[in-house]
Amino acid sequence: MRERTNTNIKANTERRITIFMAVFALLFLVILYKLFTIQVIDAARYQLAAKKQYESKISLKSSRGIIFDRKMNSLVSNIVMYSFAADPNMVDNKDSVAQVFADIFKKDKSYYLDKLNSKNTSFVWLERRIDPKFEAQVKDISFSGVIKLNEPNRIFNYDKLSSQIVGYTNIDNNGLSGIELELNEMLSGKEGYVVMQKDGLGRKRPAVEYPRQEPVDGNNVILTVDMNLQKIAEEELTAGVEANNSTGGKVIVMNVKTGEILAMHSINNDGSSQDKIAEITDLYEPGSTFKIVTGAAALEENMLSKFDVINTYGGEYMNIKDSHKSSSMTFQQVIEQSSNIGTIQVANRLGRERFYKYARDFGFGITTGLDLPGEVKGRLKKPVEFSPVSLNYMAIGYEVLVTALQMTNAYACVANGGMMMKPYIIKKILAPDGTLLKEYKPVEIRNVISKTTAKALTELFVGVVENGTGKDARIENIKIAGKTGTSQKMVEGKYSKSKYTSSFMGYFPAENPQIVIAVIIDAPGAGEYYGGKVSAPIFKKIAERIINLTGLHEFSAPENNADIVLTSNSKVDNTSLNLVNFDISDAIRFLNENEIPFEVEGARKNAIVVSQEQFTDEKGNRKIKLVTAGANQDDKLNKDSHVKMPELRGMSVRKCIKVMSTLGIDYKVNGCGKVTAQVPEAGTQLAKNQQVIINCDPPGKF
Amino acid sequence: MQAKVFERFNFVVFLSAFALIAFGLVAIYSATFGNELVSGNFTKQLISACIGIIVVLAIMYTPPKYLAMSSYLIYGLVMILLIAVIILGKKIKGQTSWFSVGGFGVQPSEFAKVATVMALAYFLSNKNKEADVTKLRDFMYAVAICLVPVALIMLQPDMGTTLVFLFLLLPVLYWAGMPNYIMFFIVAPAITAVCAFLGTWYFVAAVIFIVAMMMVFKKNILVSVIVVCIAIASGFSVNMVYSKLQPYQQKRIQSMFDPESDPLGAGYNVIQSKIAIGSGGLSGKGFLQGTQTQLKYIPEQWTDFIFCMVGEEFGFVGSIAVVLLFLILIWQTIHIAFICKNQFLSICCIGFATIFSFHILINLGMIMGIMPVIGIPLPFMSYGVSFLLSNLIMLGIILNAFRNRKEYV
Repeated sequence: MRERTNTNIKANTERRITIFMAVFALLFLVILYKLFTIQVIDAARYQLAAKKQYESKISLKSSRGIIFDRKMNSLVSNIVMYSFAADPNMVDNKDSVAQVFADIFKKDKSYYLDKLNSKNTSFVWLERRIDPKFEAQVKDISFSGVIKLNEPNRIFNYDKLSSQIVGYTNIDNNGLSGIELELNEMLSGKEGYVVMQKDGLGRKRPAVEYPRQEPVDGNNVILTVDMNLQKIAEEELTAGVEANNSTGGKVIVMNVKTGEILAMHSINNDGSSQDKIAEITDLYEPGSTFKIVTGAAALEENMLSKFDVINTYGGEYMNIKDSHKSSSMTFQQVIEQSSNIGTIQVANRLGRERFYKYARDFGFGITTGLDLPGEVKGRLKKPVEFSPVSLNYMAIGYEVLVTALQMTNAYACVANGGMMMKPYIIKKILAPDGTLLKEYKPVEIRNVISKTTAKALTELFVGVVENGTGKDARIENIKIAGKTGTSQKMVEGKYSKSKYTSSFMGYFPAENPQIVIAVIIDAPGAGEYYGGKVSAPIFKKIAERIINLTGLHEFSAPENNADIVLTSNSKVDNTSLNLVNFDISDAIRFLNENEIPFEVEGARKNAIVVSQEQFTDEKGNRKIKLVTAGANQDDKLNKDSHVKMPELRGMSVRKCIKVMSTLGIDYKVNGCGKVTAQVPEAGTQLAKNQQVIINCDPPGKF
Repeated sequence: MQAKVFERFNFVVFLSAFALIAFGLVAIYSATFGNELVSGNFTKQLISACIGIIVVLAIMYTPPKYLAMSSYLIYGLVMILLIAVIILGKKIKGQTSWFSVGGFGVQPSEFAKVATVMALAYFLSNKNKEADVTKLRDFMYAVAICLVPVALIMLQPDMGTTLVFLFLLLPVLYWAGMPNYIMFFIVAPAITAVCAFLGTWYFVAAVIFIVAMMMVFKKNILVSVIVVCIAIASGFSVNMVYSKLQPYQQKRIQSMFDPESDPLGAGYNVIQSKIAIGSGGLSGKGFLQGTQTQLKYIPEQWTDFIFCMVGEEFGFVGSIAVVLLFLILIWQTIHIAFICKNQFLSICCIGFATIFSFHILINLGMIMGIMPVIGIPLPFMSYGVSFLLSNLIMLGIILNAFRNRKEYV
């Protein structure tokens, strides 16, 4: 029995042992399979997960670059401020932490409690960049889980002086506007870092296998801005805006020779941002200051000289009215008195294409390329887009949108002898150790008009200040060239009769211009609204202070070209008055209006003035004698009569030849372009059949 | 002479066990490296292992009949300790399973595993009484021997450990001659319970499977119906039981099925342990180079999660080595159970093989996220003086069985 049982068990056990082995083997196979899956097939995924959770980078803040003015005054620099953060998981006594912070910063306790009770985070800010006045109170704050951090912040060194140009940074010290934004990368430098290993308890320690990456400090920037000039500009603009009860204004001070911005500021009380650089972001219709285009074009094209008389239709022409009612004016008077009708006549003689070409060349409708963010290009219609009256309106500064900087640069261009410079505001970029990384040099953009034209135009602008609409900009002993502008503002699609933009663009000294200053006042509300009354006085104050401060010599090397004597008399000088080619009846009317005594030789009607002559009558009065050629043109000038040599310099060859042939003078022309020399001198009595010699040079070559 | 040594001493079992202990010591050293609070663990484990060699040899050379005869005595003493620990023990993390004896923690439930197997083996192999597990009375005795420690350990409460006792009963009964169909009757409710927990469709499938098996066994209709009914009832009651579990255990079970559902809570350990062994890759990161281990991402890694260190720092190669050592050990133990003529020792071996296997499978499964985290350590490797000593006592008895395999008594 027992034996049998044993045999039974034996037989049984063998089967059972097999089952045991099978079950164990099966279960172990499952384990092995799973191990293989995790450790071999999915290893990369887990390796990534491991790395992600144990490695953490702690950034080492770099110090942001300093921004200096041209004389190395630091406009903005860095300050370290305290910030408090907390790890909600590590704070033991949240209530007392919240209480302490609430007491110091006068905020609700629940404000901090909410932060301290944040879930699923190990970092919350409690207070960032605390005001330095709290520093003493927070010095001793020490709670477990509350972290005190040093955060760099920007601080203006001169009471926000030049803050629009320099711009602002956000709470993370990244540029938001101005130079801070434009050069953010340059200024930020490169953050360094330490790779930390984070353990399962959230503790960190430096990881040995990664070297510490030291931060690289930001580069320093030197601006072209002069802090002292900036201060003057800001103060005077503020005073001017207040005195005129206006909604804002803009001022630009620029170095004529180089295009450097020396000072720039805007006030924007119309509800838009005070921090914007309105000089390049805001557009306006310039009004009469835009006559620079017509004036420059007409002179450059030799269409007329300043003495040429222009019909001004008694101050009313095609819906446009002038404040002065003269029937005609010299070109000089047109500019000095800012005659809209006169300007329109000249512009129409230029035609759309030429007008557009010069406007474009002066930089309207394209950005100046100033190295600040946000510049707009304005609006300059192409000739094909012109309506029948567009040219008229554009000539006097409507139907065209410009920035203050574009306008300023156009005047700077004339002041610089016709060479347009690229405006710039960044002078140098220095590495933290002081090595020069980049230096910005003056850049010539294009020659818009010849030096001669520029000088002639400057003469006209001097006249504006001496005798014309810009008298309020006059400064003792300094010749100022300038132009006023008064434009009606577009309000709800209509030109307002009460809101104006009043501007003055001026440069000095006129003999060798150094500085151009633009003053634009928006919607003056204290009675006066003419640019000559509102902006010219502000220009004057700024200019006077700049001259007192600097004496001007420092802005550029003196250029000895004070050879031209600028005529400043507004009274029509009958010695240089040019009525040749003028309709005799217009000429007579003009001379009568200007009370110039004259005599006419030849027809007084339906005739053209072919020559003119000065003489002194019996009573000793200087008179002008006009010789006309009319229907009986063959009634030729007396060839035997003694003719005086006219002043030909500056004329184009074409015009010169016309004059010579009209006067019946035998001549010889050398070269081409414009007359640069003549033999004999003007005013010399010419002998019969005497040949005169005229030397010409192409424009631009002086 | 040499041949005789091999004849009496199973070097394969001995060496694989001590290789695992050595692996465990290396792992504990790494897992506690730089951690002052537990830096003594390596030394404690090393001392325990050294003492353990003496224990192993002592047990190995003890005559089997003394071992058998002392079974009930040991069982009784351990049961008293289990009662005492509930009253006098230290409460750690909601469990009262420790005595503190001179700096060493003593965990009676670990020794209860050995004692229960021995008591069972002694009961089932008692020649005088001729116990027959196919008889209900003897079957109930055997179940009772298991259920006493289960009940006491539940009071601690330590559910993970109680599972060991329930699982070891099955192979032991089977080995003692329990017919297949009765085994199936016992297992059926467990199958439905697990399947019911997994989901309705699993449960339905399990019930169909059980009905099919009942047809295969061709027992009478009444028995079959009762078995199926019990199985179904078990399935329904599982959710009720689940609701009575400790919250931390519920969480662990939940997170077993979806560790990502609670990455910082119950699922945290599993996610971290998977990252650890997964990031070890094929060849591992090198000794003391494991970021998961060294940076302490796995709480108390030196106990239940010790295998993570092996997986992370020694990679798949290291893991395979450990698993193979375990396989050799268990295969040898079952083999010894088969060749050992002493019924008591043979049943002990099967019991110990079951305990080892259960621990290994649950522990590795839990580390890899396929088993719930129920606090089952890895034999020979996890830190724990009581656990190591109880493992070594089992090793001693296995070696004893090999040494006396040719003797019936």
